[in-house]
Amino acid sequence: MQWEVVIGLEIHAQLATQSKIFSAASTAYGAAPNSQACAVDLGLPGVLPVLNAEAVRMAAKFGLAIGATVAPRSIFARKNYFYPDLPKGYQISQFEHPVVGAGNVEIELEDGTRKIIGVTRAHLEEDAGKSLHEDFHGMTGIDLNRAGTPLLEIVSEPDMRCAKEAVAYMKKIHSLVRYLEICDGNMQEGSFRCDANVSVRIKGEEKLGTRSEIKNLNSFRFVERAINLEVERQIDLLENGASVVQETRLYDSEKHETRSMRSKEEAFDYRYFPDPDLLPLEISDTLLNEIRATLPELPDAKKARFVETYQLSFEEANQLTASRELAAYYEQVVASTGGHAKLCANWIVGTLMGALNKEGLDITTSRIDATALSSLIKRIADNTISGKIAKQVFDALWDGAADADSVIREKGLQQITDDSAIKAIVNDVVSNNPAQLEQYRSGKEKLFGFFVGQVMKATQGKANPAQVNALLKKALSA
Amino acid sequence: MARSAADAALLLNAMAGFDPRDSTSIDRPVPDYSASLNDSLSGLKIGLPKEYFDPGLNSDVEQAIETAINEFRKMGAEPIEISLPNSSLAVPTYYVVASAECSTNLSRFDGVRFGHRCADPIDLEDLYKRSRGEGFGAEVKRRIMTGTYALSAGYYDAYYLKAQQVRRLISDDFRRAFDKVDLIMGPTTPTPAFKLGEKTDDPVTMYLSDIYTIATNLAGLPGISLPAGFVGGLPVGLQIIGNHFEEARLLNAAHQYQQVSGWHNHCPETYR
Repeated sequence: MQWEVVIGLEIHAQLATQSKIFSAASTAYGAAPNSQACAVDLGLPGVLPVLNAEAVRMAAKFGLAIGATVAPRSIFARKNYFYPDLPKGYQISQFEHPVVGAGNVEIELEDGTRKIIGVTRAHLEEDAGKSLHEDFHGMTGIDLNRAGTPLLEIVSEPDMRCAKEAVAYMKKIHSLVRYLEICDGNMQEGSFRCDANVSVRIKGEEKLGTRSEIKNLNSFRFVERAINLEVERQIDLLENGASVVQETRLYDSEKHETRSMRSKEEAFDYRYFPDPDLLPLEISDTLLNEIRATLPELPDAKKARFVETYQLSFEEANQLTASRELAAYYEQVVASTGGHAKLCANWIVGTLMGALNKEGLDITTSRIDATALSSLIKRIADNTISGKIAKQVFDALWDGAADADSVIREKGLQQITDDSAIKAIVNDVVSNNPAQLEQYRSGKEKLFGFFVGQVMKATQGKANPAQVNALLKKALSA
Repeated sequence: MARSAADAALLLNAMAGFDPRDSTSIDRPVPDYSASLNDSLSGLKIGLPKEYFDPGLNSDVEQAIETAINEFRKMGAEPIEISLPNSSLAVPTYYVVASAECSTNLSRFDGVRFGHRCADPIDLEDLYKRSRGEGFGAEVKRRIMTGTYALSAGYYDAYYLKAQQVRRLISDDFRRAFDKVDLIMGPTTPTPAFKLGEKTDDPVTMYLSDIYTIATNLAGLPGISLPAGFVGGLPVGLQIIGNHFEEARLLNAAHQYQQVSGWHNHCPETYR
């Protein structure tokens, strides 16, 4: 039987505001427990929420970036449930009238195919605190520092058909919120996480299958693994005549399994209703235009521009625009080398990214800054060094050398381009290898490479390869 | 709250104003409520809602209120009969809206951070159930249960949403009335005070004692209740309702009445 997988994601992006969504307490990560929770975050009886304008601007920015309608009027609602790290007994969220309406994003898969994924809505809400089970014997500790941190919950349409598409979509949203500077995207700290709704149906069927929701996936790898596991589990059930039950499941990355948290029958009735403590949120056209004017160049536009302006391949442009910082780094290198766009792309995508990945670094923590890399590329471009030698210079820069010129000078790596100097070495090599010369001349032309190798060896790789080739040809056929 | 309208004005002067920590408060200038206490009531149009003088109103209370209205007439005010057609819906509407809000406002008293905590809970659910079960009194529990029900899946539209729609209709009644009159007057309650504990077993009858006053809260209007005489040794209240932000006019009328009636200085016989 041919099964079709249907996936929708709910992404929670922590907004990068200084203070919380309804209070003036700081949102900084990692402070001592309960040191960043004010009376409002603690839900002290009698205190009232006051909406953070910056959180609203950030939500609106996201809406504009995905071509969605930013609601001129949206409503905050209470989502009621009891949990120890939810001090008020309800979470302030948005329900029937979210701030961001329907929009969409385009994803690109590894094989280059592109697909539009619909975003149903995005709404503002407050995060809950954290329950800490370790370090408290037989008890639970509660840290309310995170309580009241602004979240943008981004809900997708069930448009994805495999785990890879889901990951591509999540990466796309991740890149977008970071471009917009509305979320730091730090997944280890929980700033960017998602729930996946997964179901399967027989291919060609219109009706959606019964779905399960996998909670709190905080890495791209976990999203892919958890979805694949869940798909396998559901298909297995259905092919064995059982049925899928609607439920919430938890992914255990250590045991590599998903397990049931609660079924539909045990699901909470959240008793959503408009929060009487907050007025409807109104966003005027004037404010929206003001926000629109602050939108940066977005990944898709930047990619198109890179292909157009720098004559890059789509793949190169894609990699270089993966983050705003990397794109800026690339453009800085291009500018200071005076426009060797293609060469710069090769060195960044090929060599630099490889080195960064190897050490688990990213462009913001790169050991070679844009100025240093430009100094290297300039010397390749003007033929001071060959590509092969350049790798040695790169390694020296990676290990802390300040610029390419000093490395080239100190190590004497400058390329030999003097025709007569190369000619002298060529002649030496030819006369020192009479046997090979004879074989070559009797038709064994493969031996040309041997002579090139000998010349390069004699010059420690510094002779200009084009000149070596030309002069060798001449000498060998003389 | 205060012994006299003049004192109430002083109190309001101290309390009124914009609170940046309350999203529902409005940033607008606050008048000096004491400054207009002695303004003349000549030409003041007073609306008397016919629904507040219906057969449910105790006749002795009605008598006292009519006497009070007559004092206003003597001061140059002009009583006019008006209608607030949705008055009978005020009590059920209020008890749906207020109970719903109360059910979630009180969720924080769960024994974790706030409120009573039961002894030796065996698990989280036990902690919640017993802490709340032991900590809240009968009337609070009744409201939490009513409110939770009104917000539940499948009942929200029929109760909470419907009540909010009726609330708008009640508010519209007042808006139309204030197109014609400056203030609205009537009895505060349909009967003199009932005995302590007399109606606790019959909460609906008890709630209905609020039938004339509760609409004011639903419509967000200022209201004041003044002593206007005694029936069987128990005090009778005259209620005055003003339009939004018309507290000054409300206090002005109340103060003028207290210049001629003196009921606010009387003490019930049993307390003499």
